[in-house]
Amino acid sequence: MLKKLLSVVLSAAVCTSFCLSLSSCADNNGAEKEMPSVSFTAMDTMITLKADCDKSVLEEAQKYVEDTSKLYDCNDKNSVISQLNSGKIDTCSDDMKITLTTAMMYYNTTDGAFNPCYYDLKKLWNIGSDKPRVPSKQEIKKALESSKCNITVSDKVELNGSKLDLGGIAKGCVAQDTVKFLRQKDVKSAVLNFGGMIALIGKKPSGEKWTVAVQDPRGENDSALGTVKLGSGYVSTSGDYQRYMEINGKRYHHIFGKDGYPADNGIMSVTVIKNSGDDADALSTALFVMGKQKAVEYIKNNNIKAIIVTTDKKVTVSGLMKKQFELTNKNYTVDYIEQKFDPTAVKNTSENASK
Amino acid sequence: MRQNKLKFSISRKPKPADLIIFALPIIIAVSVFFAVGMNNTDAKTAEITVNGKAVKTVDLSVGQTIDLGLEYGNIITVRDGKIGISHTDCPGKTCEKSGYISRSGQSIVCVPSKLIITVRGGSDKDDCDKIDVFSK
Repeated sequence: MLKKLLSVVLSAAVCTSFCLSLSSCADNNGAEKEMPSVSFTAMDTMITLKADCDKSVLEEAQKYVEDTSKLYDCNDKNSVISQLNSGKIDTCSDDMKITLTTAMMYYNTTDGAFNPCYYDLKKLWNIGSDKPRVPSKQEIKKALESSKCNITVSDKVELNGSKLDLGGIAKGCVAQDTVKFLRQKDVKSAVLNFGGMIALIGKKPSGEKWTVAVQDPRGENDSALGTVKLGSGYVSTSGDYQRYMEINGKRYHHIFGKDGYPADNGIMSVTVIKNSGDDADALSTALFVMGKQKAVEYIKNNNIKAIIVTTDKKVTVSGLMKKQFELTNKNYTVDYIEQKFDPTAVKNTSENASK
Repeated sequence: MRQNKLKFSISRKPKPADLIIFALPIIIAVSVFFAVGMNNTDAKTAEITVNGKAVKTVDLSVGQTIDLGLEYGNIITVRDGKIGISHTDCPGKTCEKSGYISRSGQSIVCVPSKLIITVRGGSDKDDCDKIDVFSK
């Protein structure tokens, strides 16, 4: 009799905990959802900072982001970048010099696929304005004149006819600075979202790695094509689906190629994972513009962890990421780049750019 | 002789007591499932903030149209349990292109209007997906 009673109790306990886990969403997810967060607009997008700390720390971080991002805003004539462009100043802080040096390093090593001097070109196209129009070939040729990026950075910053637009790297820089800010406040667990540029500190309070979804470039908002699991680090995606204008049924997105037109090479998005924000941001832009063949070569030569999504619904993922990535969308197929970590590969990173 | 050692051999007729022993754990578990499930049906709402200040909390189960009198004339519509910006005069109209949202934690933003709409509450199966954040 006792045995039967015990077996009933035991099986009841097992069944109950199974059903509870189905109904209440598994406690693992609960802790992250309880973390305080702040959401606000800056850098022409929405920013959400979520961390395992007091809300007051996040409010300080918000102020920090708002102040720091103003330095890069080339539409604000008082920003450091605008003042360099107009010639009002000819030098800047060491931090900004590091950013400019990193930007130039990517311009050089990606053969111009990443270009931090598209100020005139972007102003000309003005994607996202009231009056969308396709500029003429002559207008584009003229705008490209200041995109030759002959910048030198030493005591002074010499633009030599170039005009800066750091849009392809600014979110990564601000993300990285914000992580530093929060770490100084002793934050050990955080997920920061700068308009889709993701920065992660530590792991979740539960001890698990974060699950970052890669947006389906042709799906509804917040629908995934796959997920990546990681701890501290940065995830940057460059895609043709967020910022664009539609004229006569054709889509013109905001990531320009060397010919002055939106890059049109079959890539819908590129996602890069790295342990530094500026590198992740610049790389996702560069690889998008390069096109798949050159991008795969660059990825292999530089130990990059990246995901390339093309119009034929193929998802090409770095071999180094095989264990972290999971395809979740049946509309796509995945293949992995054969890649072994090469310790002798020249390290193109912001860290080395400034040495 | 060995056969006698088996307590629940196939040839034995199931007694009522056996049926209770089998069914009881399942009955207990399912009741708990529903009890917990019932407690989790908070209505879904959307929090609307303008320039960081909470302006309105909207019940997503009630179809409605909201005009906050913003500079760029954003019109917010709730229909079929979802919320979205159905009209706007802002440059680029990115907020209108974002479509309609209904999952807890999802947001729509109109940057020129400093308008943020975030879905909160509820706990349907959608919210159980283990995604922490989207890289876009």
